Amino acid sequence: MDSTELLKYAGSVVLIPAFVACCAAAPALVGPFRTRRSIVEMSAGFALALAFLVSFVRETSYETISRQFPWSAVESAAPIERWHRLALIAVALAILAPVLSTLRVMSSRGVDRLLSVGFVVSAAFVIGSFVEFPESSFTRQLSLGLLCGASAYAFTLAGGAALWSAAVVFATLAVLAMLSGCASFAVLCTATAVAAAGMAATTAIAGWKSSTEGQPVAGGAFALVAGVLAASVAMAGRAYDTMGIPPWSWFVVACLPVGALLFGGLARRSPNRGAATFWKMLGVLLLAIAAFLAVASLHPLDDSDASDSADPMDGIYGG
Amino acid sequence: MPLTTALSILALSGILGFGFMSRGEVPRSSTAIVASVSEPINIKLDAVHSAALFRIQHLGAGFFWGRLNALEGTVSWPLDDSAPPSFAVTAKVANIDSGSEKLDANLQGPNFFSAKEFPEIRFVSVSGTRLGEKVWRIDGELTLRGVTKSVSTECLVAGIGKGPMGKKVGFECTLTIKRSDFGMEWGIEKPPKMLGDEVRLIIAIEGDEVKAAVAE
Repeated sequence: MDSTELLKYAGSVVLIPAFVACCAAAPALVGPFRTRRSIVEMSAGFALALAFLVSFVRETSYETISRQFPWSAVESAAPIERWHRLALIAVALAILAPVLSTLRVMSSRGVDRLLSVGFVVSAAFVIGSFVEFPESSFTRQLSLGLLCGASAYAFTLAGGAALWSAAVVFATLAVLAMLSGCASFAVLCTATAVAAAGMAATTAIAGWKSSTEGQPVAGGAFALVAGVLAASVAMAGRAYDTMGIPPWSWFVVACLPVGALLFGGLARRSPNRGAATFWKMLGVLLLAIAAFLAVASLHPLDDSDASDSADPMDGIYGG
Repeated sequence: MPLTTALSILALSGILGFGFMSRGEVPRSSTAIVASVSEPINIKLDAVHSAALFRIQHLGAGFFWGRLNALEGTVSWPLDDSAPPSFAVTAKVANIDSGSEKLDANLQGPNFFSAKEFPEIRFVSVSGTRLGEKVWRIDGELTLRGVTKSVSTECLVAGIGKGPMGKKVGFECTLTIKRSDFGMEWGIEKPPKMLGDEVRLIIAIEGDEVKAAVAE
């Protein structure tokens, strides 16, 4: 495999899914719907789940998802691997995002928040009850459910920096996945992170170029999708980890958006939304770096038996 | 006279066959044509001296070798080679040994053997055909990553020796599989041409005779 083939592969599993997601969200982020908060949140949430799904299909196959449905006609001797349930979660989230947003639009203020909480709690309950990764136990299932709720709440705290926070969370998850020997997880998380960063950059550029300010991506359907997906991937990564990554690190990474509170005072005193987003984003980024350094200090990231191999994918499969 | 001889052989085979079944150790192998079958001995694998080696092409270049150490299981085989050996061998994915701890962990990850989800690899023989003196083609079922497929392996009896605890018997079996048949597809097309699809396996087995407990 030469560098051209490697770039083609990266384009196929990372850039194309991210591009598709950005295109799907574009009408809401830069188009006529950008002043309608529910549509902005719904589109960003849907697009985030879409990026994960498209990357999943390109990394594995369409059948890997379709055979998980009871009515599927796909026959295979191979059992459904437990981490493939992540795709099913992404499908469910992609459907739930517009449903939640529609219901929120139809509700009065106050009730819409209750709806968001209800959707997150329901999703956490269903995933904690029915989605099992290897070495599952009551404690782990409870942790999965609680982490879904905690991560979604953390994304709500990030406010207008939710998209950038999602980029940081999934990028950090990709690094952890790579370190833990789960190359495919790393690919899916990278695609999702690039999609989130792409949407965040698009929103920022659109806001800068336009005279009318659009609605930020904050809370609602986006927090539901980003939080539940991040928590599920984190717990899957923890379950499949064969490199001894500290278990707490997966929990911390899924809740990284709480870092937005680090410079909360500065964010509140900011003259405009862009500056507030910057301070929140900086907090999330600093927390991510701190978490990474903590993992690095406890986990030998440098490979003592690494060779001087010129293999471009050396880090993925060791050697 | 030839008819009488044939009937005698048939009867003897039947009695011996019934004898195997009644011992609780069900030999799953059978030969196409075996005139008379001696009593098989039961052999318990010596984990220290039993391992499976696997070979795979890396980046379209060299062949890379790895090991699955400490195989466990049993073999049933008559020492006079009158019947094929019958294998039930298990390898724990946690015992993978590539010479690099990092690579071991990656191989145990979900893209390859997925040790957390499928902790064991198992081979159980079903039948055997003689290829030569102490050389057999053994057909059996290989379970890897939760997928069970029929495979054929060529097994030779490496030797019969004596250890401090009794007889020791060694076998060496070779086979080639396609890992994609078992759902291990990472690195074949996605990412492209990273690792080959064909995996050559050499299963080196050594075991100790297990003497049946004498009934009081």
